[in-house]
Amino acid sequence: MSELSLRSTAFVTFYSFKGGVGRSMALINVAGILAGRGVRVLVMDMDLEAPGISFLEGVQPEHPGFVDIVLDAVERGGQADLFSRSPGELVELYSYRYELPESIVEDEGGLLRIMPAGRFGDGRYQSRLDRLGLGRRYREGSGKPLVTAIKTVIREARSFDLVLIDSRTGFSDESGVCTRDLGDHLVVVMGLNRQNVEGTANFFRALRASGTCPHDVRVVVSPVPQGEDDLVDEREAVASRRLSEAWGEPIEPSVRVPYHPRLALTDEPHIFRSDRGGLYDAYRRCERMVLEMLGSG
Amino acid sequence: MTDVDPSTLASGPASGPALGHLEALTKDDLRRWLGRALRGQEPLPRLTIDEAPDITVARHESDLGSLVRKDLRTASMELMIRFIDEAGRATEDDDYVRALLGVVQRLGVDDAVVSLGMLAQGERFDAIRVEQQAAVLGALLDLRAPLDRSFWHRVAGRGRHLALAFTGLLRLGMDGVDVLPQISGDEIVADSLYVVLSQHARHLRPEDRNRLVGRVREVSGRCVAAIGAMLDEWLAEQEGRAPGVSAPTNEGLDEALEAFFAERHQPYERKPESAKLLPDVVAA
Repeated sequence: MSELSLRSTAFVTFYSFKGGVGRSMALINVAGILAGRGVRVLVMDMDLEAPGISFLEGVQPEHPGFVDIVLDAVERGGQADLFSRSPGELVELYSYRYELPESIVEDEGGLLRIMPAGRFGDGRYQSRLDRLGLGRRYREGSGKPLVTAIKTVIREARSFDLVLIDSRTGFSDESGVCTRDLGDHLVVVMGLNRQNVEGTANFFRALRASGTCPHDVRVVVSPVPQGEDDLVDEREAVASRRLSEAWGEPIEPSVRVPYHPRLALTDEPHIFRSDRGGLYDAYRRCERMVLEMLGSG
Repeated sequence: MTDVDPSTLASGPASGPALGHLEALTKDDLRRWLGRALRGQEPLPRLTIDEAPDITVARHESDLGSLVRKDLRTASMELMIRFIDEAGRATEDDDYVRALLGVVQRLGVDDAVVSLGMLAQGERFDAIRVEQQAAVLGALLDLRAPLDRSFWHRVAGRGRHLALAFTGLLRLGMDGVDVLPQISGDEIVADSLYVVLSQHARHLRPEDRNRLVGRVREVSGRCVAAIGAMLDEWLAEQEGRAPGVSAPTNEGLDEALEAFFAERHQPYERKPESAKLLPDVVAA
């Protein structure tokens, strides 16, 4: 591990109020850069209703993930993997290694593993998700302890320096779980149009009302169109004002991720094929931002 | 099977038994007639144009005199023995075999169980067509043939007729459940298995039904999509909840969570709350 020196695994949630802003892409690129630089990273796809990370090229659709861990625990109790396997075994079983191209590996000590939302290969993911009913587990009282147990086991595995969580959007059950219960730090990715700004402001208001206090909150603006500098500045100022009002503390966007047409055409992490350009630089800034959040920047 | 002449469909009350002309036939002629009838080569008073001949024969058999009814049973058995003797040497039409097995069951020819059982356990069974193998195994199940676990495990071990092996094994215990992940069926197969499971569970004592539910839950995740989805529905029904609705929190989970946090000297509090951030949607 080259730059990150933490006493225990840090959990960082990437959240966006609206979809399509490039949240998952920002996350996987940051994960790839950090892993290439010697950080041991686990990516959890917690966008359970619309998983994206779980469908990256090279993923293993048969591999079990978050939904499978929790459902197994719900249905088998003490016999379940969560309670009967060692933390290392559990993490190994429910995540898989995502290979990095040699071109981005600067430090062999790094690692990138992905915990998919769940197993898709048998066509029964939705049925399992329905059976799991995460929201209902919370209402019954076992949901939060289950999520806490999973977080505890991942920490105890000591296999990772950093866990990046790809959250569900909006005010969904999963977004609450990711931003309040799983993540210690929060990266909010947002566009600059009115829907994004007002929705994200409402999210901050709800987060504040819930009493949740992440160690650090950063905002990434994405995607930012080229050639509209004045309008971008104007909208960013509006966003800063609205978010700060909602959160009760000043919030300024940390990074601008430029719009790039390739983002709409390919799932491959941008850093896998390019080490220059505006988009690459933006993801590098996101990486530095995450390290700063963890006190290692 | 030959096409049915619509003019042979039953059109209303008749003055005598619909198959009354069989009374005048010799045993040999009756056997030949039955063979042709089961092949769809004799006009029969069918209720519908696609009614299987064995159903038509069985429906009108009770209207016949006792002697000809006995002769019909003998003729059915003789045709069955011929089919068994020629198994693997002569190729029979699948519809004929299904009709023959059907008439044997419908007329209550109990002796057929032994002969069919011997066929199913013999080497020549593999020589008959797969569709006919399935019909024979199905007939053995319908006739409640006393076949043991090793027979059904051998059937399952061949990788064919797994749904039938499942049914046979389930009647003998819970072993059948272990066959479910091997079955690669579509929704039609899944529906059949659903009926078998439901009928079987209905006759179990509550404690045995709970064991069956537990065994099914263990294997459901390893089954193909159609069968897995069916098992999810079946499990939901057994647990008294609507399909797709999550299972109630069980005591095992509570105990496991309590033990998990106790090991780490952390409190375990089961506190109902909302997964969402919005405080106004906290569950009432």
